Amino acid sequence: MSRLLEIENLRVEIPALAGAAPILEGVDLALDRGEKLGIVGESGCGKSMTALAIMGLLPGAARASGAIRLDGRDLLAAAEREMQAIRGRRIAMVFQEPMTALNPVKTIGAQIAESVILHLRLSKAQAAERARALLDRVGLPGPRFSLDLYPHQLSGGQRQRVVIAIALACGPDVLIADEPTTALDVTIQAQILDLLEDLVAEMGMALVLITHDLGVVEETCERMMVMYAGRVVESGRTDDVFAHMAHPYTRGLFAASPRSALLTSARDASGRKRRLAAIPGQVPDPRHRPPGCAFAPRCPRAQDDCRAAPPPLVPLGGPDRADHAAACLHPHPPAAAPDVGHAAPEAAR
Amino acid sequence: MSGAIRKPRARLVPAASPSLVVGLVVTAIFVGMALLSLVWTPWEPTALNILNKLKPPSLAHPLGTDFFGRDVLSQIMAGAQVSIVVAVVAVLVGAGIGVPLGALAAARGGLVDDVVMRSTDLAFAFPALLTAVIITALAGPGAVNAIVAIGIFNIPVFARLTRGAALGLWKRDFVLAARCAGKSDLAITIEHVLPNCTAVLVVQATIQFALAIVAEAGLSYVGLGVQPPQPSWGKMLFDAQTYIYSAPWLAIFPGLAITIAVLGLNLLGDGLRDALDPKVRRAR
Repeated sequence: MSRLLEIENLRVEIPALAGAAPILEGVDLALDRGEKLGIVGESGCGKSMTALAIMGLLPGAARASGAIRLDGRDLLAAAEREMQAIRGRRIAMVFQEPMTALNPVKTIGAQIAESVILHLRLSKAQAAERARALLDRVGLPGPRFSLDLYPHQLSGGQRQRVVIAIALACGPDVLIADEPTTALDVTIQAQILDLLEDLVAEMGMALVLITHDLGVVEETCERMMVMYAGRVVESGRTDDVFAHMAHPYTRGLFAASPRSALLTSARDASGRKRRLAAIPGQVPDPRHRPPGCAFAPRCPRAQDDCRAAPPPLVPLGGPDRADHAAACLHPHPPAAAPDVGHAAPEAAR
Repeated sequence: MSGAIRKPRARLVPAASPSLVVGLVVTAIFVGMALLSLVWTPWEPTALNILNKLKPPSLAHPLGTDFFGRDVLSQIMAGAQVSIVVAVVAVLVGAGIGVPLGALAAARGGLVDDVVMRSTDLAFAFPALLTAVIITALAGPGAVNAIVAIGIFNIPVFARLTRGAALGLWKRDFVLAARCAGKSDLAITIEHVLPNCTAVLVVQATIQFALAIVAEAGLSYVGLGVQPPQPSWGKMLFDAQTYIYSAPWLAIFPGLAITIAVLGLNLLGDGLRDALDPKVRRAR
């Protein structure tokens, strides 16, 4: 029985960049209806590339190998025409910037209806009716939010609701949300996430939530995947990953988020104001990626063997956490899992 | 609770800048004059009256009469028809071919883009009016050939402009969103890219329209435009040369007609740009 969406050993490289490491390497994931998967990582670590690879919209110079299967059908082998029938119909996407994801010269009603007319072959009147129903569902009820409004007449949160309505228009099986709340006010973020969660439950979609906010993943997703420099460095059920945080990068991400500061006390033992623990350095350029673990130069636990070859993603074992895997030769032992209620994670020091 | 969401207004409500108003009025006068000449002119534009030849402006003939005694005002009115028809069709031909070419170049990129753009470079390398003269000289004089000749040098202008505007749009998120919705490149071009180019294209069309009027007058002046007895501004100027000292009104009035028509269209273009281009509007 094949899963709804399955990615196996996905590798994306740009041959034109001589000597460059692949943009993505050895990415695996599997997803069923109703499941919510979070993908976390810094900018440039391959989250959005993974999304574009699934959509078949990688930049022209990029070459993908491996397999991306939707209900068993390999999308990498599919013709462009077939992909066009899948995009928007079976896999839909929500974008980070609601300000630019809508066409400024078309009404929101027309933009929602377009997709329905294209994929479901509805008449204009039926499409308008469906657009109305979708807007009502995403929290933009008529008559106040008319189909004749232009994007500039809406706020950021309202536009993101329109973007979601467009994505949902044809009842897709997989919804990819690429940083859907990053550009929004904090108060709106929660509303949009709630809306997404409700819709996933209601429509039985699978959700891939791409974000750099660990808090969002913890609240929304059952499973998560941490990416760094084009590889999956830790994956598993969200609870397991948060309870253990085996990979130093996962800990670093957590320590660097304001959320960890909220959970620990704002001042350290000597009474000084605690600062967020930034991970030193930055994501390596694909052209100058170290031969071993890509995180080694920034890793507090790195040893010589880390710099020899990239560590594979191996299951950590342990009872009830068969899914939990990390790509680290010297993972944090489970005992050292950060007790988020009381002390700062080790990497925060 | 204030209704924060306003009903959408018509999108083209430009702030009426002076140049827009003047340009609109002048253009409207010329178009009106041409339309009026279809049903009424003070005199028959082509009626000869040798007894009345070379009369200076008077009440009967407000702009005087020419060597054959034809009424200059009536000829200018009838000549506006030719100028406008030739210019409109030529700009439509140029835009009709140039815009799709530019959109294609932007959508496909790579080799297609190179071929289209290098072709426009080539077209730009020749002076426009000279090209038009060569084309009409080879194909023979006449209104249709004048339209083709002027239309051809409008193609690269529209191709470049469209490509430039479209290239920027192809990088926008809403185009990526449209691709994620399963649209083909053609559908995206028609539904998303071109509608966002209309403002800049309308402005350019207005300016090209003014250039086309000058080009048409130039072709008629050298005898390659519309043929007599059909009146045209360029031909009137040519005929007036001989009498420039004895009957200066023959040169002055068609010259003024061309000047004012072109000035009006340029003002209209400027005004439209100010009104339609959000960047300029914010700066004001």
